[in-house]
Amino acid sequence: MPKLIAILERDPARIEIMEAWLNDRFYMYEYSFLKHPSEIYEIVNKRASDLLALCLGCESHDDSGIQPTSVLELISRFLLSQSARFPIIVHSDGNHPLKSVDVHLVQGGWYFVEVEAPQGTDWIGNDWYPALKTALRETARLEDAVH
Amino acid sequence: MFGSPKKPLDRRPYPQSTDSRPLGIGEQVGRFVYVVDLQDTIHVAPDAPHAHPRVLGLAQEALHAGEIAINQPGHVVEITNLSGTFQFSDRGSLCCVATHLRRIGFVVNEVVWYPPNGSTGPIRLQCP
Repeated sequence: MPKLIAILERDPARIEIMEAWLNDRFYMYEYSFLKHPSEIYEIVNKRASDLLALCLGCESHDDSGIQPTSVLELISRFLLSQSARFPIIVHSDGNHPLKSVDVHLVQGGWYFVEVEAPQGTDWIGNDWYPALKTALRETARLEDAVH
Repeated sequence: MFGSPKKPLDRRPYPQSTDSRPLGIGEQVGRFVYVVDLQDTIHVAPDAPHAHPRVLGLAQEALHAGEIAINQPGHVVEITNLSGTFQFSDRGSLCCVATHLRRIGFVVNEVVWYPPNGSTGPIRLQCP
């Protein structure tokens, strides 16, 4: 079964660009766009061992008025209770300090990186895709070329 | 030695990109897609989705393809086999690209191979 890249993102314009990169480069992996933070719990519970990376849009909070950082705090607490480990890439407009989330996850042994997501979609190709790839490389195992 | 050449999966005869050029040691810092032609020359173009078909153009066959990142002059931080257009899967051919880059004069830091069936994450290859 192919590994899975899960992305919490609801903006159709962003999803379109992210899909263009994923389809062209990570064609060997499955990907799934999550619309609501609650879907993270479901996907981690069901497919933790298949997860290659989890990408979280900091602005992608639910409609209940909960602050994005609060959602991330909850997600990080949930992730810290898990045994599986996969890179976490957060894209954020920078208006919500993520320091505590960052520290907790890194201390818990997680690879965590934040990407600045300003207006527009240029940051997806310029920053998000490279950050995702770097995260995968940094957490990849080393093998001889002849296998 | 590279493996067998492959045609791009997208067979439309795109013209060659005006940004495509053979890779030399003086190449600027940046992220590129690369395609190795049948004469073993590595061609690069700026990184963008679905850029590979236009590196050689005209649906020409290639010996390998992927991404290359140069983080300082003469220094390749990473090469991969990531190309949805060509989908090369041979580890040895990816190491051939690293060998060619070293012959040109580049320092190559990481050779990262992505398995074609997606059953595992990427693997950092120790090329001979």
